[in-house]
Amino acid sequence: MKQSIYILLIGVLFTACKKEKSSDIHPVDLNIKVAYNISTSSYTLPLNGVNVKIKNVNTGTTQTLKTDDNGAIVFGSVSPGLYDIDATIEIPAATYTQITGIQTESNITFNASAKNTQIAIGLTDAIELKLVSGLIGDWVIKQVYYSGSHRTNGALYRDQFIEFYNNSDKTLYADSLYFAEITGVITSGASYNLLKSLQMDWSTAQGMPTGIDANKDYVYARAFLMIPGNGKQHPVLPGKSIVVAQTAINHKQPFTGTDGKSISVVDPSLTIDLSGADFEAYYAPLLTKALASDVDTPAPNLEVLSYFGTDMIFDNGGRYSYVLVKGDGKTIMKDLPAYPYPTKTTPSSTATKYYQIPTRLIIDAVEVQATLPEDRNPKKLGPALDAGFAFVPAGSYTSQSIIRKTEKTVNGRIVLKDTNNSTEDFDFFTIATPRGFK
Amino acid sequence: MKITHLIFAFFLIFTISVSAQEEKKSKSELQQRQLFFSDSTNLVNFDYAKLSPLFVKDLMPKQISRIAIAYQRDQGKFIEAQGSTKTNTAHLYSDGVTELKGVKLYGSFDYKKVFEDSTRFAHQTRNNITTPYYYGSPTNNHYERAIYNFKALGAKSIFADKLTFGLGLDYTVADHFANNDPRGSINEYQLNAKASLAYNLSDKISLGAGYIFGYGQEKVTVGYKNPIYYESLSSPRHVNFLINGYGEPIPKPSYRNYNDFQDRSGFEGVFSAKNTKFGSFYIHGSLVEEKQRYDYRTSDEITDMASYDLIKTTINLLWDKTLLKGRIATNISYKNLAGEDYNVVYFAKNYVYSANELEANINYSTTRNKNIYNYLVGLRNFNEERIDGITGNKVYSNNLILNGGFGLQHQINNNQSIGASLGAGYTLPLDDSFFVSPANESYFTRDVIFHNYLYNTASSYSGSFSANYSFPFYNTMQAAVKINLVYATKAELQDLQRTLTTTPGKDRFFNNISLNLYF
Repeated sequence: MKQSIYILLIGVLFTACKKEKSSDIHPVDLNIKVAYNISTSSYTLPLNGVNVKIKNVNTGTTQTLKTDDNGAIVFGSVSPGLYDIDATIEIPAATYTQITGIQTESNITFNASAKNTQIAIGLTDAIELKLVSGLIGDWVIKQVYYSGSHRTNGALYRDQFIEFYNNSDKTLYADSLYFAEITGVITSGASYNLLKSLQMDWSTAQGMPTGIDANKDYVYARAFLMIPGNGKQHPVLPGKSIVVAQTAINHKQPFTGTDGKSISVVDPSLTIDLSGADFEAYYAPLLTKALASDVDTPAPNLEVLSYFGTDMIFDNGGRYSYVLVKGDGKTIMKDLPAYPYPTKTTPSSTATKYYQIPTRLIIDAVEVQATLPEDRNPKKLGPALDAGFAFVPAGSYTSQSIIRKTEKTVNGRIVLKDTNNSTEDFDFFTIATPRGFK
Repeated sequence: MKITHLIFAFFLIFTISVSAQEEKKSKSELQQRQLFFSDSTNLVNFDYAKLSPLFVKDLMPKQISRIAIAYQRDQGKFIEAQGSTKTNTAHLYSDGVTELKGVKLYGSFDYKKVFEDSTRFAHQTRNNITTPYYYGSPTNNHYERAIYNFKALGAKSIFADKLTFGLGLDYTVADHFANNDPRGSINEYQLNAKASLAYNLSDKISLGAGYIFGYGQEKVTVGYKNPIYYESLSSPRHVNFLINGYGEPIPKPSYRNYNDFQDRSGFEGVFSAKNTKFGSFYIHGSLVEEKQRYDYRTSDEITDMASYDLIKTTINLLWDKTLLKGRIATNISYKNLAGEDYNVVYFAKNYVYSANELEANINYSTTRNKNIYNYLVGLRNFNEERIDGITGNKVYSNNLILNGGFGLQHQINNNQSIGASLGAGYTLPLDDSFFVSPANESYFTRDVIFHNYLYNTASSYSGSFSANYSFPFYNTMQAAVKINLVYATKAELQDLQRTLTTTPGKDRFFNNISLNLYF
């Protein structure tokens, strides 16, 4: 009997010890291959030394490696999950000219990105990225203050603004410069026809003509606004900017609203003085009931082609993106077509329509995303417009703005970073600072 | 009045009533009850008996009760990453043994109020630390815990003592909460029960088996006072992370609550051979499988979040024998924990936990004149491994802990006694392995995984001292005031050659003072 018990106990012990100790999941060796998305093959741009960065969307861990001569790189032991993958290479101006024969004074940056890419267990296929040279323009979007300030102690959304900057070495004119707030899937895409990227498939929008690439060659505006002027009315010197305010007033101090009541803040340090803004949005003439804070200040008013809400109120959650548009002399902006959202069901005759803006007219763009990874939406702007995205780290109503980084100073003129990848080009201000630099 | 308070009162009355049923005892008899617990071999037998109701009759005295109130403080940074750098505990404990109509009964209640400083990455209870699924934050939290535990064991022999039937019950209800952001809150209950039956082959030999079952729930919520901590990730140290394995967690700023439902089932086997010429032998083995199911609930639906199965295997041997005018009690125990999860994101097993513990303690005690001498030599081997498939992390450590001690209890006049003991220990790392890919390294990896590896592979020394003074108390009880001091200091840390944000500190100091009443 004793012997049997002993054997039984040994058996129990053995069973416990022999359990296999391994996981069914294993990290992935992630293969990435980059190539240039150029149609000509008359020259070959370098593929080695492309910086490839992978960032785990959830854990925030990042790794950066450089490609080999074939444009390939392997990231070893990568955790399965969602990743933002960015590739970038800056080719010196002289090298670029030597290779292509194209004269340029500025270094040329090529970018590629694959945001929210699922790296699955057992993935062996290489992820291919196409490098594109983005818009490196004279005008750039310098700062976007979309988050607003504290709900009760600050100015809420009243103190929002956007700033454009002359990044060139010559005087530019802001007259007839357009900007737009770009829309797309911002909450659930369940009611829309979607692309593989889960962004809206605008080609299925009611009335959309065939024969165009409605998704790649155009973006769609929730608000479309223009800086007024006769062409030479609003010069902007090199290294200078213009500030476009929702309401060009000092928000730190009380002011009288359109309803005759005083509007003030509890803590002036949370908001900003926009009395020096160059332009403002004034929607009152468009509305049956104006927003109390939308007072008409001496700052020139924007021309409104389309609008959303009761003032130029940017989405404090960062769910929309911003583009700067310049006419080509042929296109009449207000005559651009507009289409309703590509809903699965037929839209009503009164459904809101959104201006369709050709990407060829866009001179700068910033993709803005929500602060929390779980709240982010599929990108609305393609890599040729913005390979990355920017956001304020503290989120809504925190007084924070996104601000384009300073790249260098040339003869006292600050040149802002413009690699066409907002993830790399933008930082943030803890308190939005009109005309500030970082 | 909460149900916990009612149960608390019941057990308090129960243990006191054990004493009340007895005839008035002499001071000498009362002192013997205190001295019973001063003999380390008695204590080994008494604690061993709590393993199964089938041992209560043989290994516990006929009638004894005690109540203790204690304050203890644990301080120092030579701890695991998710431990508390300073813990203050108020403790009320009572247990007692009696026999009612042929049923041998043991009951205890235990109440602890714990104040923890600087607890990181652990919105958890302290009794489910192998789980892969929990919330945690890098910042230091101040935790408060109120823990009630009730135990009852009962055994009765029937059919001319041929059969012994036993029942056991163990109930814990606890409330844990942090009082700074992120404010973790865990409401917990655990109920474990067993029903056992032994066949007494003879007066000396018996064999038994029992069925073990249990249920439990942890209800976890993390709240904030400052909304910026959950509306953004701008203060990473305050972000609520969801740990799901042994790799980098993901931020969980919203929907910050879950339930962990636990079911346990298993069996125990017991064997005893008493009063043989080689002494008495008791063997206890158990195998319990615990299934933990994690879900998130709204009024509309229940979403499965994870599951975790933990198998606990134990084997305990007690050898008790009179030897050289004294008594030797040797306890050899083996424990194996084998856990694995089911990750609902990947529909596969991701996390594997395993731990083995083999421990041998030899206690020898002898009474001469008015002195009780206690000697202890102990040896413990503990190894632990955590595997996380998603990151490929695999961390293993294996340690040998050696300890020894000596104690003396001396009776003085008027039924008083004084006692003191000294002990020393040494932790010797035997082997380890460490694979944590730099590719997946962030807060948790640096703050927890690196830190724990360094702690678990460190060599260390410890020393302990205790003293007590015992005296008659109102003619109805024997009292003892005790102090315990334990100091541990690290000897050597591994050189990890990684960027470290935190390392185990220099030392740890534990002290405890208690008033114990025996009756």
